[in-house]
Amino acid sequence: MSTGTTAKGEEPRSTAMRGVARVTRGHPVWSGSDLDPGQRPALRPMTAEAVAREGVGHTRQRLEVLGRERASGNWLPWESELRDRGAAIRRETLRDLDGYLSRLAAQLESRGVIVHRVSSAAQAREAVGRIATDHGVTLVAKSKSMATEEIGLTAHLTTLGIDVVETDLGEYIAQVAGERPSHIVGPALHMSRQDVTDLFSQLNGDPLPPDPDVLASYARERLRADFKAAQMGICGVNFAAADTGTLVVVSNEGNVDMVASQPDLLVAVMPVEKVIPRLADIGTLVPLLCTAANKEFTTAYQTLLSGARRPGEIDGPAEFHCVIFDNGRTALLGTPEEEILACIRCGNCQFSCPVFRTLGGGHAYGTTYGGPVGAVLSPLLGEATRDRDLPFLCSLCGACADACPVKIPLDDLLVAGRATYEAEQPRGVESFGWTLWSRFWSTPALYRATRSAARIAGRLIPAGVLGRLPVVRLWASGRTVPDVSHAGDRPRGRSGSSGGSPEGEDR
Amino acid sequence: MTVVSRPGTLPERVALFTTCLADFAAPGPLAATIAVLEAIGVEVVVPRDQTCCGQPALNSGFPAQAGRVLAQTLDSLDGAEAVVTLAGSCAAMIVHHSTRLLGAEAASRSGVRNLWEFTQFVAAFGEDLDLELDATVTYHDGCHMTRLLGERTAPRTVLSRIRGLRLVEMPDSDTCCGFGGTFSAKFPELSVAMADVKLDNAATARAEYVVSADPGCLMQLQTRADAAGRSIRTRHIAEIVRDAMRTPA
Amino acid sequence: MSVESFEARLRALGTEVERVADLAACRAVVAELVGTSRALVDEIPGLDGLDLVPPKDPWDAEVGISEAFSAAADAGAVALVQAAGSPRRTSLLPPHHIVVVRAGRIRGTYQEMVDDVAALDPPPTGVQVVSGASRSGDIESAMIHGMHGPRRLTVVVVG
Repeated sequence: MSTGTTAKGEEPRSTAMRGVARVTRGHPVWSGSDLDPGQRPALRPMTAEAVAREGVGHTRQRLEVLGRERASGNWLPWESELRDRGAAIRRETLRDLDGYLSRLAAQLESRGVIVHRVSSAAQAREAVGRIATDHGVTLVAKSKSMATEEIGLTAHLTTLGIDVVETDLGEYIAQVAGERPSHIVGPALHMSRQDVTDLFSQLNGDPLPPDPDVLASYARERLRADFKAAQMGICGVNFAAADTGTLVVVSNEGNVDMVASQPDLLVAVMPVEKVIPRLADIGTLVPLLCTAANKEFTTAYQTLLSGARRPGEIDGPAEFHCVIFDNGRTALLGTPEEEILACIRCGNCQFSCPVFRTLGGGHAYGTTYGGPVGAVLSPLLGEATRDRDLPFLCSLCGACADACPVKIPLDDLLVAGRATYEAEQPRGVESFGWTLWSRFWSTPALYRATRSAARIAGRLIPAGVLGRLPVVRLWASGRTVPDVSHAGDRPRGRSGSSGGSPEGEDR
Repeated sequence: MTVVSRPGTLPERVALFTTCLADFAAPGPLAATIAVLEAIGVEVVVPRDQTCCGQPALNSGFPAQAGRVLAQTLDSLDGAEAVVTLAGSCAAMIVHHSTRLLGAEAASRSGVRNLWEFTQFVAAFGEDLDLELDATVTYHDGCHMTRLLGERTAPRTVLSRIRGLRLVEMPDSDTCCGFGGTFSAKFPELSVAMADVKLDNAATARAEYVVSADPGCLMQLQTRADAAGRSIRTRHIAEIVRDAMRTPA
Repeated sequence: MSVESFEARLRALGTEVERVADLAACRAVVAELVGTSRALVDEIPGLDGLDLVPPKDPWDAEVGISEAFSAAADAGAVALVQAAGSPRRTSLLPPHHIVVVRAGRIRGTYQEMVDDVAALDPPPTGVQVVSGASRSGDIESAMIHGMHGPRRLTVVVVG
């Protein structure tokens, strides 16, 4: 169900969303923009469904091409230099995040920006909702922002009777389809051009040709009317410079400039870790972000916003708000997990991740952020109770750590995330099992006993029966059971030596 | 990451770290490893009290339990001038995680600072092996060895010394096969789907064998190929080298 | 830094480039590019007196003319300051955008251009850094030229 219809189910105020009631294209419940964070399915059935979906192979291949283009881990010399500098810049603010945020806020306020510093996701969306209702806003034009996804902003504004339209082409496609973005930078990468054609044709009420130029023109015309009509713009923030009080937002489409300059009212939404020390730092961070995200030196546009409209100016927001929210982040400072706050949201880890690709994108993680960054970050955010087990949705291949432009040790954080999860569980079967395992396997005689047991089982129990035992049957769905009938057949060297141990047969 | 020492001269004897996976399910590669090492001219001892590197528990979220088991294995390897293992992922586990689990002192244990992954040892010391094998193979780069150990050259160096052997690279040779240890049992459908991608890529090389330096990857790929009725054959690189030895061990 | 490298980078990004010796020549080139199109023109010192037709509604403008505050050769980028005489709409609403760049304002690197912008005190309401015309790769990674911003960008280098 798309969130483009008004609360009363009338024809949308957004030109771009007209006809959305005609869209019948289905999607799994777990990819929906209306998925309640507390209600997502368990990871295993969700991922099992995801890998079997029609078209997932094509999505995987598209993501593989994008991953190969980026050649994770093979940073060219100039890219490597940028990466070193960028990694250092992103750690600077973590030393004194509050201090930098205060400077940022003070600078913005000195130029007429109303800054709201809030804690939770709920407070963030409520703050935006109040600004909109205070001004009688009925239509919001919004540019791409994962932070607004995280706080559930669009759904909240819709319940207040306010229409919200996504203006980034990929986000617009996802919105029409009623789905969450499937990748941080390419929200609709999980859809083929035929999928988009079918979707827009339903929206249009008449068939459109499977031509990206035609489809983009169709979207452009409809969205242009919304840029003109919207009373309020909402944008995200890529970097917020504390020294000058400047919000920096990158785009290729020009929609950020549109929403940030044409409506009279603008709200920028950012989580706390977007702050950077100096505006000059974007000389490093913008090329680093754009190279990692899109294999381009810069995007077509970098939009720098430092204040509300001044006397004599005829566009730019007359009223400019900046909502800065926390949602669990500052609690990470001073812990190893603070590293994830260095993330610049490039999405390169997602492109490099074989799990992400094989799942056909981020939907099957069941939360705002998918892929490696999501598996680390989502469990740490304020309102996520269901996401604590996400670090297990990963084969620990380490490609993400190589791909990260700011050198976040994602794979180590994923291992640590698993330990955190298990430490929180009440002592149960799994904890008991691993403790017993560790006792047995740190005692040589007991280790050898388990080997003998496996050897006997391998010789006496038919493979078909073995394959139905608990745990083994998880392996055996799709794979044959390994032959353990030779367990313990440790061959010896010619000398027969086991390093000084005088015992006989090594069984 | 712990720095592993690299002596320049061939050690007289090496301790073989067998790994739990090979102990349970890969006796062939173990025998081949010993045969190759002996052909190089070292005495191979197999410390009886070794068990496991602890990786299954660490990856399942139980670091304390992992540390306990790793400690036992490091105890059994103490005093070894050189330790060789046939599993890239276990070598990577020890090199990358020992100090985190057991403290900074772990870096100076024999099992950590003197540890060699099999192809690293053979690449360094096996130049004089007389190797010939008329076969076409393709190579899968296991993740931990490639990324945590940073080693993708040694296996290819070793294969390049085998006269008559043709190595055909597969697309995305360093993309994960989907094993991931306990991941393979937690997310079987996803793990199998990843294995299928790897098998499809491997098949394009039209090789007789899919070769790797990790028994875990090989087990994942072979058991999936068998269940799916695919005629792909996997082989540990130690077995390929042993097969190629002109002078019998 | 060479003006030639700036021009080469612009062309590689699909931006049109005209090189002129002085403001008089610039005026002539701009007049020719604009023709009778409805134009939004920023206040550009030395470039006043262009005989252009404004649109009734800025959203219906066909061409916009701005001057760059700074530029970067390696990125093929221009930095446009949003202020009283240079609203954002000029570089955004029309499908064709013309940017006048004084050769002396072209920096070798993106970092140097950013430093120029960062040194502005107080910071302007807005700055837009532009490299090429608007685009999108959101449909199956196919590159579409001309999305919400202009689809055609012409840079006139003066001096």
